[in-house]
Amino acid sequence: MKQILARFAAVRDQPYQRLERWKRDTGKKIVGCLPMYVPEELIHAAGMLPVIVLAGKEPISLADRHLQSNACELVRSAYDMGLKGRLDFLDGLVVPDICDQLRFVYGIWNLDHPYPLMHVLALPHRQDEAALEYQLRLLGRFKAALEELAGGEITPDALRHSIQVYNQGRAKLRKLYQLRRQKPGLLGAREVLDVVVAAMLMPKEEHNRWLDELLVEVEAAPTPPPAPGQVKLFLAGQPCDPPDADLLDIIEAEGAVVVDDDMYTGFRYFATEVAPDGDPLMALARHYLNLIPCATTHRRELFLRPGREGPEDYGQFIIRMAKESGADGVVIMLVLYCDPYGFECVPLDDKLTKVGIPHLLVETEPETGALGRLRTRLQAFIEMVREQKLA
Amino acid sequence: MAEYGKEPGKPVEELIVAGVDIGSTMTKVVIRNGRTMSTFIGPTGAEYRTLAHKVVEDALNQASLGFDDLAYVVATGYGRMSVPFADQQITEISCHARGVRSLLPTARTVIDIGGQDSKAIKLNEQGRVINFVMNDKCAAGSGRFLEVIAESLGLKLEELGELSLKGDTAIKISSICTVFAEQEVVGHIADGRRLEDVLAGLHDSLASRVYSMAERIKLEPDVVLTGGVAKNIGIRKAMERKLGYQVLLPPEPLLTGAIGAALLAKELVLKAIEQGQPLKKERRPLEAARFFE
Repeated sequence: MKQILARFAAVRDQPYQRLERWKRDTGKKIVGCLPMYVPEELIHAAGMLPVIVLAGKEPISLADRHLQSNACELVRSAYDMGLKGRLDFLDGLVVPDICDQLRFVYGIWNLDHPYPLMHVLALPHRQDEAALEYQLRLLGRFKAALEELAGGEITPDALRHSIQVYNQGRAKLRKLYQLRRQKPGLLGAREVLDVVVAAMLMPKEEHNRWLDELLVEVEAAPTPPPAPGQVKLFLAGQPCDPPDADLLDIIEAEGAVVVDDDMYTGFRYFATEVAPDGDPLMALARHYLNLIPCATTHRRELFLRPGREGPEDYGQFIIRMAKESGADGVVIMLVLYCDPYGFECVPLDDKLTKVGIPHLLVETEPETGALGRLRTRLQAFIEMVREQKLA
Repeated sequence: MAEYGKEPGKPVEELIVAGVDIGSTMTKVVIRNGRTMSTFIGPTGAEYRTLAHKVVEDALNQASLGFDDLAYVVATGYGRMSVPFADQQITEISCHARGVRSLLPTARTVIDIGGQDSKAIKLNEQGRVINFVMNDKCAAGSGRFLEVIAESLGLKLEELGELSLKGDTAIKISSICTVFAEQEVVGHIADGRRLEDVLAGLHDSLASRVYSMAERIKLEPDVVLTGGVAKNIGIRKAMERKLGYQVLLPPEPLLTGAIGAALLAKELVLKAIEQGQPLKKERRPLEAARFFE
């Protein structure tokens, strides 16, 4: 199992060399997508490789010349990598119009360091029939732009096939998450993060094959005996960018295991599947419109989840997920300068308090340096949850 | 090592345990020998990584005990990871809560202002931690803030609080940043403002900073102040003005964490005996922390 996991980790560690090699070997095009909600299936159906552009690990050196200091880490880091030429293998960049930071970095990026295709994917901030029609038209425009870049038409059959490939990946990742809940402590939070992030950075078919291998081993592996006083935690937040894996290690080093999460580089990425029948573009529009919404788009009373009865808001969603996963507490990771999620934390805190779920808000920022101090807070939180659990 | 609760070991009542609280500024050791307690307080200094064992040795000598007499050692505080001879590390949040619970059982909130950080801990009726908040990002709202000002004004840290009470009109000082506050203080003095008024404003500023952080967990009486800064009467009075009621103070505010650590050590031993579990896997000698381990 460790060997397979190491392959995923290697992809997350060195994503771009691998992609450059892939491009040389296949002669195909690569389109980068900033988080979240870009329908990768359309890019795939055009015979190109979609990859998600996440924050890099390098210290930021060029982006600060152009961006204000309260831009979020994702925007600063991704743009910095762009300026450094690390992403020059990209044939296109798609920026979803979900928040001001992404919207505005697009304009600067387009000015300074454009790729052949620069596309803003405007997204509706509501979830109703009018929004669906709007979404469908936007996807049509996106499709046309991709067809121009690819030099060929995206046929309905090709799109249906791509949807199928991506749905398979989603189902496999959900299976992995299900096994993580069932076998707490078997997979480390860092390892699970590696697996999901790798899905964003490599061809889906290959990732799906690796997942098959992994799932066989995870299914066969016994649940490790729980450490005395083991505390199970649910991770909320970090909706765009992956968390610092060191932070996850600290959480788990203090006698807690992560049993589930709500991260973009986690459950959000594969929570639901695209309907396999009907018009594929319409199916995509409906799917992406109904995903777990970004905090900028929180339709508080209209958070409709397919397969769920009635609306559910973000707090109710987190409470349900935490309960279903058997978590004893919730760690909320707030990315510094993600104002929309910051505001979202207020009602979330309130709701979790009312139902008596212990929770800790952690502000995550680049080059934290204060991980030691964060460690005290996390450790104290875990001690508190453990004591409450025993009481 | 003596085996407690087992023949021919000593009775549980004579259990000897230690709590070691290595703060950023002061190191505190509490040794509980049955019902009696001996304590030791000394500066942490830059060498604390290698000196924790010396402090414990001194404390043991004072109590005429040897390291082998200790059934269990709990380390806490900022430097808790640098106590290789401890049997367990527990955060200062849990230890302060436990200490306060035994000293002042009516406490519902603990506000601890230490050398480098401040925290507020909410306790339920049983004295268990139900929420906490920490300022761990900068020196504003910590003892360091007062140290910096005392240094730049050539005053003793101990006299700041009393002096501040003699102020008539508190001069407003920014509570955001220690460095800026120091500049402000020096500026006001240069402008000929009364030292006492400046200090009154300064204490108000620190109390405001800590109060607004602590209020995030909804302060509830009784409020207990702990940590070195709790000894400053100016801060205590300023805090009481904000709260609108009196705060409680343990007999020695520096020691609550170490007392809590010793109490938790005792509980862990008793629990282990009750469950018939071996107390610990491996006992490490009383020695300095080694780097690279």
